[in-house]
Amino acid sequence: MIEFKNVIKTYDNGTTAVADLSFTAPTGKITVLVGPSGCGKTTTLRMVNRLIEQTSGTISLSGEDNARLDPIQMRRKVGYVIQNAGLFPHQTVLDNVCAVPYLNKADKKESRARALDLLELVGLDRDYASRYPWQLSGGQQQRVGVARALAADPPYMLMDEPFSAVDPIVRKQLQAEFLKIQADLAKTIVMVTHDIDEALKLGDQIVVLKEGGILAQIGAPAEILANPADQFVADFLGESRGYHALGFESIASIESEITPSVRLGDRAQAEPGTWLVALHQSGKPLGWVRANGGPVEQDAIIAATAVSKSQGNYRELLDAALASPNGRVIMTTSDGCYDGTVDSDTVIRSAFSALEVERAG
Amino acid sequence: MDIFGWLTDPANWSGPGSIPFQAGMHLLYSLIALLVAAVIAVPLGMFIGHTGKGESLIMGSVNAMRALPTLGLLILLVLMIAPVFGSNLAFVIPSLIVLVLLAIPPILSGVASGIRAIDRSVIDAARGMGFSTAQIVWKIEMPCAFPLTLSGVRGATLQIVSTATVAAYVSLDGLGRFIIDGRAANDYAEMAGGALVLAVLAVLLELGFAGLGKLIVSPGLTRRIRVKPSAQIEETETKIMSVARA
Amino acid sequence: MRLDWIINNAGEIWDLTLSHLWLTLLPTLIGLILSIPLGYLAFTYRRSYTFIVGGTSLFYTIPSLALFILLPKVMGTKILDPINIVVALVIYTIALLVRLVADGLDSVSPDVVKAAQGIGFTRLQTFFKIQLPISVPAILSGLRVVVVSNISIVTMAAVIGVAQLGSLFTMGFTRRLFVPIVVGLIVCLLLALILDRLLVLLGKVLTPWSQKGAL
Repeated sequence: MIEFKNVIKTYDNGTTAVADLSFTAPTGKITVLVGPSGCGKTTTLRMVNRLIEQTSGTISLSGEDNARLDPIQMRRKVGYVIQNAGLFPHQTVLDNVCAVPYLNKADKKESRARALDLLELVGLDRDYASRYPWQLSGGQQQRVGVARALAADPPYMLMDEPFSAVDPIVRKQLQAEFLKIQADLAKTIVMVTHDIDEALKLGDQIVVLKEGGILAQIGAPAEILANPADQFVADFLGESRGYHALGFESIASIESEITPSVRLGDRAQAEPGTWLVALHQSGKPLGWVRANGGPVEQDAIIAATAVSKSQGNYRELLDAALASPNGRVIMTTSDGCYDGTVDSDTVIRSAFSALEVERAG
Repeated sequence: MDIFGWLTDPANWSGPGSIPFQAGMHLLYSLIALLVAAVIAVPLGMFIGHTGKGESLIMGSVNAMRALPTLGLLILLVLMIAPVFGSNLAFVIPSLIVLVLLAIPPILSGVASGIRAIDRSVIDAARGMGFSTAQIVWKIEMPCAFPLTLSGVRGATLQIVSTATVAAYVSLDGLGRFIIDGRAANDYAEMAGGALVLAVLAVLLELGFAGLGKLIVSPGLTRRIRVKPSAQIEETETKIMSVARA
Repeated sequence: MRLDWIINNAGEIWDLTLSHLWLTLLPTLIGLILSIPLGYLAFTYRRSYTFIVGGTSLFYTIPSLALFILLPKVMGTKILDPINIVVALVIYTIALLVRLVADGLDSVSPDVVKAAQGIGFTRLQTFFKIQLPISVPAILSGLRVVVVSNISIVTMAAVIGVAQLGSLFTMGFTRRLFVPIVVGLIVCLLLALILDRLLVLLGKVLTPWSQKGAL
């Protein structure tokens, strides 16, 4: 873990970048520093690997005061990913990824093999290994940057707006893939972003900073959404705060009914006009279909997104309910098989009580 | 005798004062001056490029060298230093001094601007990853600055070869000897012959550098995509600034 | 040092300065005028860019003395004829400026050119009223380099006997006198400084739309 104890950073001209900051970034989790510009989040990040030295206070990496460590060696144990990647233009992608292992005089063959694996991990074909940074798109360069940070298998990672320099579609992809990688690797990560949506999506713990480096609130996304500490945090979370909060509430306990279903191609055994859940041969739901006395045909099915009871959340339920022709949501088990439906009234009532519980607790 | 007669006369191809001899001396003096200038200019350029301090020094020296008539400087130094040395060194030393002085600004400018041109995020990433300052300078800044450094060295070589020619006026050996001696003897063939060999030598050196560039510069740095037009102007201006002329 | 030498020879110094200015400025002007259409060609027909710019740049590698001496053979003039100097400097000027003209034109945003043509400018009008003026800063910075270089290059011709400020150097060498040499150096530097400042001023006049300190 990374511990900040009373860290202060002031500059000679009197400005305070970081004001008495204390928090812990738990091991194996993503801690996101978020706030408006001038809140000192990047300064805070760069104090961890001593690119900026704090004026007072201590920062410890798993108990060791980072001021007592040799900065160069310490930095090699901390992965560092920045906006724009900062890849070395004169070297191939592979050599870029191997940068820290080479510095550590690791075995070349092993390092290169590991680098190729890492490229695959971040979603790049092995062909990219011999290309040069200028031949890559922004998103691809960012992936290489992440692979490079992981090359020496550091326990910690610092990420400064890692996904801001790419377009929104690529950003979504990178975020999703990054979460998958982190699920396997469980690194202790401190990330900086100005985008509250990104913070909520990626962070296990969120540190909201105010201008002047003052800690406004710290907590899990669900907590912060349910109980913003003050007006600043509430404003920063923005207008879709309630909607965002729904993303974090699990729906495992929701009551569902078994609405009659019919397989594709079969004849429906119900009154003409009733809504039935249309199923694929395998038992996976395809959408809604109105009974019409004849066999169910593909064209007649209105496609619907089903929500998994074990893994879904209230936001998905609400979305599906709004998009459904009859206001009901199709539920599935964790393997995707039909598991009943829920009507929109139940969805809303459940959502509200879940949020109430969150606020109270 | 016309120029081709002079060029094909075997007497001019062997012995002291022959074409190969003068060409060799010309190259020798040029090489010495280039090396000495590089030893001074490269570390200085690395310092200025890495720290960003003293950039005005570069522009100042480049402009000054361009404006200074090299012939006048040569003659001045020879007159000042000759009494001190006597013998041949009386003109070799001042000539070499002038050659070195002329070569420093282009190399300095090339190295420094090459380093300054590197994207700051590359340097930041390197520092954050755990590169020491020495490692940053040698493994990243110098290789990335190589194209502009090479163009600076190219300009310096051009300058040196050209000025070494004029140095024949103050008795330095080299291809300029044919021009000066030819003038004194009113032998146009000798003058033109020497000038032709010199021109060919200069063009060969230039082509050599071009080839060297293609061979050594990392393909990651020589991309041929459309650079933003304003950046291209800056690049052209940088190249022009690093070439002084004799 | 005998400073009265300067007073005694003031007339000759003045003549040499004038001849030096003539030998410097005439080719620069001719070179500039020739560079503009050449640069335009290189810019308009991208495939010719490498050929034109590369070809002219190659001349730049030929040492000035060599060019001064070989040109009479090519042009059929006498060695001492100052026309050789002028032609050589025209070549050097073109070598430096063609690339800058082409790149300067390239820096004009294509949107601006399209807008002009949309309004109804002919190709020629677009060139003279829009593309060329916008390229002025780039061309001017090259012109400053060219003028200052040319002042220095001209002095070399003293070695083959052409009369200009460089003759002060050769005179000082043969007579072992410091004063002429120093005078020559100072006058050359002064000329360089004055012409450079004049060009900067010219640039400001030609580009009233640019911010202060841009040049």
